[in-house]
Amino acid sequence: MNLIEEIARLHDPAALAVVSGERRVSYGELFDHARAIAATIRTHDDTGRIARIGLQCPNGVSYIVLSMGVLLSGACLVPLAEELTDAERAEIAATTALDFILAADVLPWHGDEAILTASVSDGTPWKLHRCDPPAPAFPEDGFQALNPAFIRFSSGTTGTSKGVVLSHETLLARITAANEGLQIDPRDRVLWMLPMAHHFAVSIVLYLHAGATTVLEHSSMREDILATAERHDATVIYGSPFHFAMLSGDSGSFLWPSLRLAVATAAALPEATARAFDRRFGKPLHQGLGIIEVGLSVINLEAAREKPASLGKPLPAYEVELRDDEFHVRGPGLLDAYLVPWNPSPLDGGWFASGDLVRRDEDGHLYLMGRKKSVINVAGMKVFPEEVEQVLNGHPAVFRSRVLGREHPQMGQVPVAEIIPADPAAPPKPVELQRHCKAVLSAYKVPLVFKMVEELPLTASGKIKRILDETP
Amino acid sequence: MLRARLMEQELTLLLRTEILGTAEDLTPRSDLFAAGLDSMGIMQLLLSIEDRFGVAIDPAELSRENFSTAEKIAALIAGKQAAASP
Repeated sequence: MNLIEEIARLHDPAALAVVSGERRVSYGELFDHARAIAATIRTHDDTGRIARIGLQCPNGVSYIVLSMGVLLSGACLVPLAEELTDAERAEIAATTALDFILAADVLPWHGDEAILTASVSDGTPWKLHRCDPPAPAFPEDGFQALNPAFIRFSSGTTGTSKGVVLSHETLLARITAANEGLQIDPRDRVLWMLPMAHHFAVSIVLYLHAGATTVLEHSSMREDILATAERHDATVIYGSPFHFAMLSGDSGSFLWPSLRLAVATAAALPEATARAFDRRFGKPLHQGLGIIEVGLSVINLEAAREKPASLGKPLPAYEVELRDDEFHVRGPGLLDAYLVPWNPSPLDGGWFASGDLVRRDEDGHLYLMGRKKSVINVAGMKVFPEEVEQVLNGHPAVFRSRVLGREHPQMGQVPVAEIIPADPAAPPKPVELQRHCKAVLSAYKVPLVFKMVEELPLTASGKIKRILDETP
Repeated sequence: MLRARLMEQELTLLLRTEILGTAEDLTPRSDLFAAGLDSMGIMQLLLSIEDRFGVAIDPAELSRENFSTAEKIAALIAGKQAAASP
């Protein structure tokens, strides 16, 4: 089964699929572009199996058609986010054993991979590069047998697993289950402003499957976002608490009467933010828990106004258990495998343990309390402290380091570092450490504060001690 | 006045080198959103401002009027610093 082929069968080609500024793109046009891209890829794909293709492209209609083209060609899509440094991109390419990279010309290209062909889709010039991957660290046969559609590289919840593999069947199962709650249909116009490289699978693909119109907003300025909402009568918006806090401060007269569903995701929603949004627009915010391995299993649909800080209850297709406060979920569309180390049975009796600490109140409403593991959540982007520490420890003036998450009202957490200098008399300057990190790490992983310390707490085996349980 | 100028310059440099990365010809009056300032960039900027200038800017204050250029941001910070000092 190919999910994009399935979607092609569902909708009237004349129906409006995407709006971006002045542009209006029908489902028919979207598929015309995607089929042309798929044909180009097939001409050059000599792997004789499901190829793995990295996609590097900014948000826009072109991101959507290029993703659809990769999937229609039968290949497996590996999003390469814009903010990746060269080192991070190279690591993803090697770990996922990419066969090709499809890169839009508008982003700077630093790879040395050979150009196979150049083309233009929907006005966006792009190039297909051939990679020369090392032998994969996972069994090729096992990977191929999954009918893989997506590999999401960065957010192995356990901190050690890299690459979440989702098949076409899995994607269909999870968007079907999520839409039992969201109820998105062809009358909806979904206002989209989040980075597609992080959110494509269970969002844009869901809107396409449901036949809705996706309205793209490129500006992050609230006046622009609200003008687009008004102009297109947007009915649904997805955003982080930060976006909603920003929109709530608007002092204009637009009341957004067409809005029916505002979903807050990526970081814990502060009650004050939800109240401010409700005061300004007369609509509650619905907090959801999106997990890359799972999809959207929990969203606050019924008690959003009464309990805005709650995640609500599981959607009908899912069962949730709290074991020692840790969120466990069972249901359709859970991940098929972790890529490295290869694990084709990542579930325990059908259950996935997310590492989120959650409590349940007397009415059965769930609340996010923190994380069991040391991963830092910066507005939904996962930062593994070990990765940042390794980079810091490579600086000649650093003896040892520890990276922690500091709580932040809008971003959830931000990374901060403690440093034991190699020479206490000549500690490194924070700006220098920042520059050192930025050369190899995405900006959101770079610590904002560097504190010089004399020692760091260690475990009996000499490892850095981490705060394992942030709940009171 | 001189202090405001210095702050504008520091902000412009911060935006150019650490947040926008590529905008070589950014000036204190350049439109930051046209130059590609996205929400992740705004969040980084808010944290850097908190760190360097000691004032917190609430996301609800992020309007075109307050925040579209380095010049306007410097004025917002200066206003907050003045309000905070006795």
